[in-house]
Amino acid sequence: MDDDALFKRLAAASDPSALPAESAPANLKDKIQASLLARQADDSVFETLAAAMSAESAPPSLTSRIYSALVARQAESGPLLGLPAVKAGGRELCVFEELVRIAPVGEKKQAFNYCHICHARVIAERMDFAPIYWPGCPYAAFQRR
Amino acid sequence: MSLITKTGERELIASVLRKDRKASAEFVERFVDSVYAYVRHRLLPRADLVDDLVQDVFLSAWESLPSFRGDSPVRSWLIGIARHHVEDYYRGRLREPLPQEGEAEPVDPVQLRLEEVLDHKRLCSKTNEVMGSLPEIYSIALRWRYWEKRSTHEMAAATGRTEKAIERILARARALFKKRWNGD
Repeated sequence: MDDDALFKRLAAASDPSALPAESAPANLKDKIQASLLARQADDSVFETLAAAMSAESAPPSLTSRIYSALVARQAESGPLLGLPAVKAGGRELCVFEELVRIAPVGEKKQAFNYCHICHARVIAERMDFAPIYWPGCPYAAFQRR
Repeated sequence: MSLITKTGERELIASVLRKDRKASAEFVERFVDSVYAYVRHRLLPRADLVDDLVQDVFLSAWESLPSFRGDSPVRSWLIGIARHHVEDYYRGRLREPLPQEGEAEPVDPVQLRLEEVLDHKRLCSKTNEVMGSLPEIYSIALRWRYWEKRSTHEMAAATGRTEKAIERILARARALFKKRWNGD
C-alpha cells in the first residue's frame, strides 16, 4: 500500500463520522506503530547528540573585546566608579591606574576609562597570546585564564 | 592570575551596577565561557556570527541588569538572554525559502550509526562536521528542535510556518543528516 492510500485508510479509520466503523487492519496498526517508533528513535538519537556536545572556552581576544565594549557602554550613561572607590572595594588596579589614583586630580579623571587609551587593550583585542603581563590589568588576566 | 575572586554573585552584580570596571572584568571573565560555548554550538557552522552575538548578550545583560532579581543563578540568566538572541537568528533564517527540493530529498530509511563513533570528542566533531555540511536551514531546524528542545508547535508559531511545514523540514533535515553521517 502506498503512503497516500495508507493515510486515506488512517483518516477513515479515525473519523467518527465515517461510515460504519471498521477496525484498522493489523498491518496498518503495525505500520503506524513502526512509524512512531522510528520517529521516537530518531528523536532519541538527536537528543543524545545534543547532550553530548562539549564546552569550549572563549578566546582571550573575544573576552577582551567584550570587556572593552561593556565598559564603553557603561561609560556612555555616566562616569565609571572612581579609581579610589574601586581600590577601596578591594580590587587591584594596574600600575597606570594606581598612578592616577594617587595623583592630585579631580573625580572626572579618576572615573576615566584608562583602558580605552592603553596599548594592552589594543593588543589583547587582536591577539590570543598577547605579550602583556602586568598585575591588575584585566586584559593580561584574560590571556592567562 | 585570574580576576575571579570569591565574590558572591549578588555582590558582584551590585559592583557591576556601580560601574566598578574591575568587577565588570570579573563578570565577563566568570561567565564568558558558558555563554560562548552555548552560542557557538547553537550557531555552528556560522562561526562568523558567534563573536558578535556573544558580545550582544553581555551588552543586553548590562541593559537588563537593574531588573535582575537574582531568582536564578547569573549563568542561567545569561544563557536565557543568549537563547533569545540565538532564537531571533533561527527565526529569521527559518522564515527564508527552503533549499531546492532535490538537495535534501528524503532517502531510504537509514540508521544513524552512533555506536561507530566511540569517543566523545569525535562524536562532537563529527556532529559539527555533518551539521556544517547541511544547508543552514536544516542545521538550524535540527538545533532548534533537539538542542533547544523546542516543539514543532513552538517553532511553527515563531516562524509563521505551519507545524506540518516544520515537520517536513525536520524530516528532510534528519534524512540528510543521517545520509551525510554515514558518508553517503
